[in-house]
Amino acid sequence: MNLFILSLLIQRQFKEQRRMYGISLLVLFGMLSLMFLLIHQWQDSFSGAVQNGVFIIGLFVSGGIFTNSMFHEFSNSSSSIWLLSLPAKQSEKVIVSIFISTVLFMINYLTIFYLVESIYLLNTKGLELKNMLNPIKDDFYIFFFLYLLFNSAILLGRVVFIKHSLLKTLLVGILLFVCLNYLNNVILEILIPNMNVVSSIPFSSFQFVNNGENIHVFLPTHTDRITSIFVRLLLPITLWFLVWMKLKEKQI
Amino acid sequence: MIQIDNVSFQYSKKMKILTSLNLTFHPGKIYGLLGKNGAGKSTVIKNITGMLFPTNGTINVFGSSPRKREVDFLKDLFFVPEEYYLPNISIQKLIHIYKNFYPKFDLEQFDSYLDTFLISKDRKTNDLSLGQKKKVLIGFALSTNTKILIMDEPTNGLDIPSKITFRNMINSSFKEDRIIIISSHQVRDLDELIDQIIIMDNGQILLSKEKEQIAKQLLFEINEKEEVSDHILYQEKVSTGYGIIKPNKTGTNNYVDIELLFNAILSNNELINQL
Amino acid sequence: MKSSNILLLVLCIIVLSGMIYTNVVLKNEFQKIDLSDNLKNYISHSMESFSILEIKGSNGYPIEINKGNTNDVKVLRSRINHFSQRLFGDTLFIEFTGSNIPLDQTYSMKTPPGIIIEVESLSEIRTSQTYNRISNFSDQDLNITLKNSSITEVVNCNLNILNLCSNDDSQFVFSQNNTVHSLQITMKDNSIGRFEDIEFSTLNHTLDDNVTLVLSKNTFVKLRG
Repeated sequence: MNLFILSLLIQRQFKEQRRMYGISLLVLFGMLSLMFLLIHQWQDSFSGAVQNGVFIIGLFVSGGIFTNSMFHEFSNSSSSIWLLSLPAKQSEKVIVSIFISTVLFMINYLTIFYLVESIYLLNTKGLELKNMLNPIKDDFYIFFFLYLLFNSAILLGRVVFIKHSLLKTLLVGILLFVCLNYLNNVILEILIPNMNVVSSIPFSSFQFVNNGENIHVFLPTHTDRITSIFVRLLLPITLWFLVWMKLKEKQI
Repeated sequence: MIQIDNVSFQYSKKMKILTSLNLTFHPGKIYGLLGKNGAGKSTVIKNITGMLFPTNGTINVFGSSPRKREVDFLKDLFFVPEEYYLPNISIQKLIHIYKNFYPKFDLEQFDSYLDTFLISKDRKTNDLSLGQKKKVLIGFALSTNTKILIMDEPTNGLDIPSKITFRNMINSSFKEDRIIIISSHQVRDLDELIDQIIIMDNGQILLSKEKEQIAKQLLFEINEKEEVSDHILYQEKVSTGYGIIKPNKTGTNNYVDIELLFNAILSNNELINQL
Repeated sequence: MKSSNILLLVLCIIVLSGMIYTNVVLKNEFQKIDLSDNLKNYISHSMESFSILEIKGSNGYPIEINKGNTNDVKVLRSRINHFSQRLFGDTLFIEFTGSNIPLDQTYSMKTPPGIIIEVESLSEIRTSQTYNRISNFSDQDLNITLKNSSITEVVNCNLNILNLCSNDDSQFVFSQNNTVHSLQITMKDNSIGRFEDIEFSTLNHTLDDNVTLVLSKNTFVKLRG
C-alpha cells in the first residue's frame, strides 16, 4: 500500500467532484431541514425518537447516493478504461473509495446533521445537550455498522452493474432480504413444527403467538454476539473484499 | 517486448472475435494495426492493455501479464481508446493530479504540445471541442513517456492540419525503447509513420511485416490504363488511373502504398502467399 | 468459474449454514419457555436483597415495582438488550434504555411492562426519565424521588410515612386505593401531582410556584375540612 498513491487518489476524487460534493452538502442540508420541519409541523403524528428517524433516513439515503458516486467511471466504457488503467493497485482504488464513502462521508454527514438539529432545537425545544441525538445511547451506534454493510453492498453493485447500478443493487438487496426472511421462516417451521411464527429476523430472533400473546425468542448473549460480529463486521469486510476481486476481474 | 501467443478471445461460444493469434512487438518500432471495422483491432489492443482477458493463450508485456494490471505494468503503458474520456477539470488541474501517477511524465513536453495546439491550460476539458480534447489526451499520452503507447483510431476527429501535427508529435517523441501501436481503419493517416504493417480481418492476422521488407518485395505503380499481365499481383481503379502491385524484381526500396496494399491483402490471398 | 463468484458462493453457503445454526439455537431457547407460565414473555433474574432501587432510562415501557415474597427482576424478552443492572451495597441500579414518548401519551400507553420488579422490602425508590407503577406496599415507610420527567403511579399502597419528591417536570398520580398516615410532598420545576384516590392523616408540603395539583372531589373535600 503506497500512502502517496492513496493521497493522490483521494485528491483526484475531490478535485474532480468538488462542485458536485459542494452541491450535495447543500442538498443534504436542505433534505434534513425539510425532514425536521415536517416532524415539527406534524409533531402530533410523530412520537418517540424522531431525531433518530431523521438521522437514519438521512444517513441511508444520502450515504447510498454518495457511495454510488464512487467508481462513477464505470457507467461508461471510456471512463472505465481511464480508471482501470490508472497506475495504482486495484486494492488502493477500493480502499480510497471505502475511506471516502465511510469515514469522510460520516464526518460530513454528522457535521451537517448536528448543524441542522441545532437550528431545529434552537427554534423549538431549546439548544441543550440532553435534547440532542446521542449516537451512543440505546445501541444506536448499530446503525453505523449497518451503514458499513449497506456501503459495501452499494460499492459491490457499482462494480458489478454498469447502468442504473444503485437501483439494481437496491432491487437485488430487497429481493435477497425477502428471500432470506422467507427461507428463515421455512427453516424455523421445519425445526419447530406447529408453531404460529409471526415474524423472524435471520441471525437474531423470532416471534410466535401463543393464546393470543406474542412471544419473542432471542438468541443467547454469546451466540448473539457472534452473529452481530458476523453481520456488522465480517459481512461488510467480505463484501469489500469482493469489490476488490470484481475490480481485478473487471473487463471493458 | 510484447509477445502474443496463440491468443483467442470470445464474448460467448457463438461470438468468437480472435482466433489463435500470434504476434510480437519489439521496442523501437511504430506498428500500424490495420483492418476494417469489426476486424478485431480494438479487441487485440484491449487484450494487450489488460482491459480484456484472453479466453485462451498468453500475452506477455515486458515480463508482465496484462490481465493482472500491476502498477509497474500500468506505469509503463498508456492507452488512448477510440472513445476517450477526460475528467471535467481544468487542464492545469488534470496535469497536477495525474502527472504524479507516471514517473517519466515530462511537463515541458506537455506544455510544448499545448502551445502547438494553441490550447490554454486554464480551460476546462468539458469546454473543449472533441478534437481539442483528443489533442490534450494525445499530448498527455506522449508526455507520459511510457514504454508502450497504444492508440486506437487516434486520428478520428482530428482536422487535416492536426493529423500532420499528430504525425510530427509521434515522430518527435519516438524513442528506441518505446513501442507505439496505432490502430486505424483510415490507412492513409499512418502513411510515412509506421515501421511495421499488421493487417487483420475476421479476428486473424493476414499480414505482419516491416514496411521496408514489403517495399523490397513489391512494386506499387499508378498506370493510366488497366494492364493485363501475368506479373500483376493486384490491380484496382483509383482516382488517377489504376493502382497496380507487382513483384519487385530489382530489390530496391520503393514507396509502399498502404491503402492499395490493404485492399489487395483483403481481396487477394495470392499476394499474402507471395509475401 | 471466477474467483469472485467462488467467494460469493462460499459466502452464500456460510450465510445459509449460519441461518440453520442460529435457528437450531433459537429452537433450544424456545424449548426452555414454559408456555403455561403467565409471565412466559419475561426473563427472570433472581437478586440478592436490596432496600434502595435506582432506575434510569426511558419511559417507552412501564416498570412495575411490586411488594412480594422474593427479590426478582423480570425483563420483557424483547427489551432484554436494553436492560442492565448492578447491585452496589444495598442499592440496585437499573438502566433501562430505549426511546422516549411524550409525557401526555404515557397514560394512554397500552404496552406491557418492560420490567416487573418484585421486592421483599424497599425503603427508597429513585427514578429518572422512567414510567413506574408502584403497588402493594403496606405497613412501612417509603421515600420516592422522581427526576428528569419521570412518571410514577402509586396503586394500592398502605404506608406509614410517604416522602415523595418530584423534580424536573416529573409527574405522579395516586390512582387507586391508597392510604398514607403521613404524607410529605415536595414538588419542583413544573411538576404535576394527581391525587385521585388517597387517604391521609397528615400532609406536609413544599411546593414551587409553578407546580400543578389535580385533586379528586374526595381529596378536595378532605383538604377543605
